[in-house]
Amino acid sequence: MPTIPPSLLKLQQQFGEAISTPLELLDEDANFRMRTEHYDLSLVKLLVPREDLGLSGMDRLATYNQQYWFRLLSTMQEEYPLLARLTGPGVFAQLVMDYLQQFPSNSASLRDLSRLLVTYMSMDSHYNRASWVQAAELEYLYIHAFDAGRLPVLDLSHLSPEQQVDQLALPIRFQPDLRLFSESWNLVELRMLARSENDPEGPILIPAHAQHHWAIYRKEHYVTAEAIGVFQYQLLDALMQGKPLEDAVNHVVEQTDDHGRAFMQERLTSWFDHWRRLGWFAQPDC
Amino acid sequence: MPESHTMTYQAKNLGIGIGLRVPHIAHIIANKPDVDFFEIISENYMVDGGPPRENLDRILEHYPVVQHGVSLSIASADDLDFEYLKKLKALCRHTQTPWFSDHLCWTRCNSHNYHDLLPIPYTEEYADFIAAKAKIVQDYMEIPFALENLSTYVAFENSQMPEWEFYQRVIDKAGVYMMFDVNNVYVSAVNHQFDPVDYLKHIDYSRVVQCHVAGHTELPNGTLLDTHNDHVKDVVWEMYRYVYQQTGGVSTILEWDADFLTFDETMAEAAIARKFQIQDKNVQV
Ligand SMILES: [Fe+2]
Repeated sequence: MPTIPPSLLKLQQQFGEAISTPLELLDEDANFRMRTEHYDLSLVKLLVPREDLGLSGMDRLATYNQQYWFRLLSTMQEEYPLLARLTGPGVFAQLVMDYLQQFPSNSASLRDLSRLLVTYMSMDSHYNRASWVQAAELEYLYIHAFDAGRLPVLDLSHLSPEQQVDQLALPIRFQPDLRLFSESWNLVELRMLARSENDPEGPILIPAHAQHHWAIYRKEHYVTAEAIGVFQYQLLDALMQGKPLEDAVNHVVEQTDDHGRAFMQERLTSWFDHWRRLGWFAQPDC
Repeated sequence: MPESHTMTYQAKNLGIGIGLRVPHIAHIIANKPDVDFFEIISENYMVDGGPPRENLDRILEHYPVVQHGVSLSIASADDLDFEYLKKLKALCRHTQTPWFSDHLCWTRCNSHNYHDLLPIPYTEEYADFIAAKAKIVQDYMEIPFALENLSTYVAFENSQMPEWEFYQRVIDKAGVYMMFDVNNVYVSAVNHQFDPVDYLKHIDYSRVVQCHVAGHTELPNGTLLDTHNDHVKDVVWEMYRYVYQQTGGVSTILEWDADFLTFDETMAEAAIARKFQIQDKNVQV
């Protein structure tokens, strides 16, 4: 590598710091102003003003500051429609700016921008509200599922029903997009509401507390959520942690009574059949 | 691949195309419209899988694709990111892009990615530093590397030369190529009060492998922003006429990235380029 000019490094540090200066939010609707008073004056002095337009070096630098936050805020708004509706636009914008100050993007792809959002929210008492954190977890799963690779789908068509059961007794390999989500409200449906164009703007009210379980996965070209029962959730969770089928079933059975055990045994085959049809299983790694 | 900058790579003229964007993909796959070629944003496809990669493969079955990146950060004081380059190279092999391009700018400093195309002062020292990096990139990638001139909204007091001289110096010293964005010349010319004709007259067109045309936006304070959300301005088409003639014919992409038109409307805008593709030695700018 050629020697890095020290003056270039210094300039880029100053410039980067200036353009990522958080905006000052003026109201709950996320109107803002640029905090140009925070720019490094030694950097500003290097910038050519446009006196004919009445633009100082500071004003011109502010264009980049504004563009920086517009791009990141609109990316996050697009990926986190539910969280944005739960928090309201002002708090959402502040959250995004606080988060990205703490964890600036270190990836070439904007798809990775929110990789540590849940971690950050869990650490910060302003944002560590259970419904908000769960909404952020859910919306990250949608990003993950959309971008995940796809393995060859498990094909049992050439096997008899008995052989198919034997096949499922092998370590089960899941498609990388599939993730389980257990939540205390009905955030999946609230997210659909938040995304629907007919829905009016404004805050969304969190419904009464109720446990819901979901499998989030990619179906053709979009990500969707399949409602699953608690036994299905526990079983899939155990399998996804790498437990063999028998151990996974036993693990769930141990946590239930005779009634639950019978319920599970009756439905086990049809659950597996359904999950296979949804394409959640990949061919075993041979 | 040329071995040194004294050799000139004869880039094929692929015709007229558009940047491949999500709102049009379903239409393109379903209808397979007659388009010479598409340009993709490399970073959007440097993922493990998912719909973008699946769609790209379907597009590749029917069309030539060229790759254009936004995150190489060649002018950055950071080291080159070889993890990024490795993924980029794999994608280039997959798409069979005849060349790949990125911007003469920086997007990253101390590993912080700003996701914007940022300017630097035009000094000899910086030009030579960037050229050395660009040469490493082209050698590593094993296909021609084209750098795109930038739209900028600030200029630096310590610049030692005009933008075109800096641009040409990097290209010549590195032995790389030009992805010449005609709209960017105009945007920077208005923002920094230079004559775009001066710029156009100082370019060595034998290095240009591809052109961009696009629309821009004027902010209330008079600054032009390179927004790619509007029709190409007449003055930019007139500049394109000169550039096309000087290159002897060059692959041309219309960039349109926001406030999208329908696919057919976008193609109609791109097709305007044909009216300006005049092979006449007397074309004046
Ligand atoms: Fe461009």
